[in-house]
Amino acid sequence: MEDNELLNLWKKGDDLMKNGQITNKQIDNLLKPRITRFSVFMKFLLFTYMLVQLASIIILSYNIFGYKGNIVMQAVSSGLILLSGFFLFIELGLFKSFRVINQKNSDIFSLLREKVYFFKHKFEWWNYIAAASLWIVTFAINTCVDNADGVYRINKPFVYFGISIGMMAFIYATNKSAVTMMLQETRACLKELESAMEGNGDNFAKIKKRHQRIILISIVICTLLFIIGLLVFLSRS
Amino acid sequence: MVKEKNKVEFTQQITANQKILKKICNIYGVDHEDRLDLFQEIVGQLWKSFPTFSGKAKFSTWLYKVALNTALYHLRKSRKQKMEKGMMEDLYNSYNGNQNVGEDVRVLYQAINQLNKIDRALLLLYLEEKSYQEMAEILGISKSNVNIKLVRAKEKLLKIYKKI
Repeated sequence: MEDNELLNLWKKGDDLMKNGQITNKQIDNLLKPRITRFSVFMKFLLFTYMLVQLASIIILSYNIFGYKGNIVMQAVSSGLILLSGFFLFIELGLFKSFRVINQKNSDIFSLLREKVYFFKHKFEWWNYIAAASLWIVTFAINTCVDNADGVYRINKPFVYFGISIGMMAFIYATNKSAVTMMLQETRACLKELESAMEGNGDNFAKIKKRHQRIILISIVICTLLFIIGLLVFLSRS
Repeated sequence: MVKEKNKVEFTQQITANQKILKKICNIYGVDHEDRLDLFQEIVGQLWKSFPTFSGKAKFSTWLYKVALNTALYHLRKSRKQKMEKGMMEDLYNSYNGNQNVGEDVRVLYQAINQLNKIDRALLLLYLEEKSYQEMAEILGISKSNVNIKLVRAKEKLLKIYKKI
């Protein structure tokens, strides 16, 4: 098939296509508030963690009052309040960044690069922040509930440390897996464009599929290990 | 008042460029339901980005950028939309459901649909007879890179077309 034949075939399809007047009512119907699932999901995720940080700040502020005779707990609570405030500030910035990259009126290559940068760097940091935020809120609730006349005691520090690390790793993996598919898709498109510049072949679809399988299997294994570990711990204690 | 004026202008632009949008939906949507969904998503995104259109570039260039960027990230919906489907069907109704469409045109679309998302965008711009300059502007790569990529994309398309 020659180029001209291809263009003629396309033109034939074009001529057959309807091209009627669109009314304002139809446009209104199309513009009913609606956003993509991924965008809703991302905003929900960021918003939820902002609420978690606010909750931490409120509970920890209450703890400062509750542990007024305990200098160590007051220092720890104050430090965590500051940290939560800092996280909240970063998260607001991230929320703004996500809105900006969704404007979608720059060229395709720039937008792909921006998205990859967002998910690879900014969102990666947010993943650590999210894991730490959940630990902070759990700590805040524990210290609030287990306040024994201004004293809080960790009876098994090693177990506590282990579970805290496990919990943070689990939260990190869960959040990361939520955007992995999106990131893979974006990266694959970006590589396609970059391959034209570098003169490389394009087997990225295959690589993408292989990565997806590996990530999915890893997530399933990590989740199972975490659940089994938790069950073993609960059965022993 | 300004918003209403914008809406009228926007409606006019969408009416004038509806074929482009339908073609993008046809090459990125997996089935009729999905194409309707993508069409709505693109129009929604165009409306959101409409205030950012400065008029410096051609409207169609801006439209391609926004529409293709939206199509690249379009995820297929698993649940059926509860919107007024009748009105959408009526508006969208391109030759997807048209019995008179030639088999060769259908096969061409089917072949394009099997390419990767970037190649689809490139071929769409080529078939729409956009200049290399405009393709480069929309995709954000140089003209020579457009040329290299386009040659490969056409080769792939022809292979798939022959197989079908």
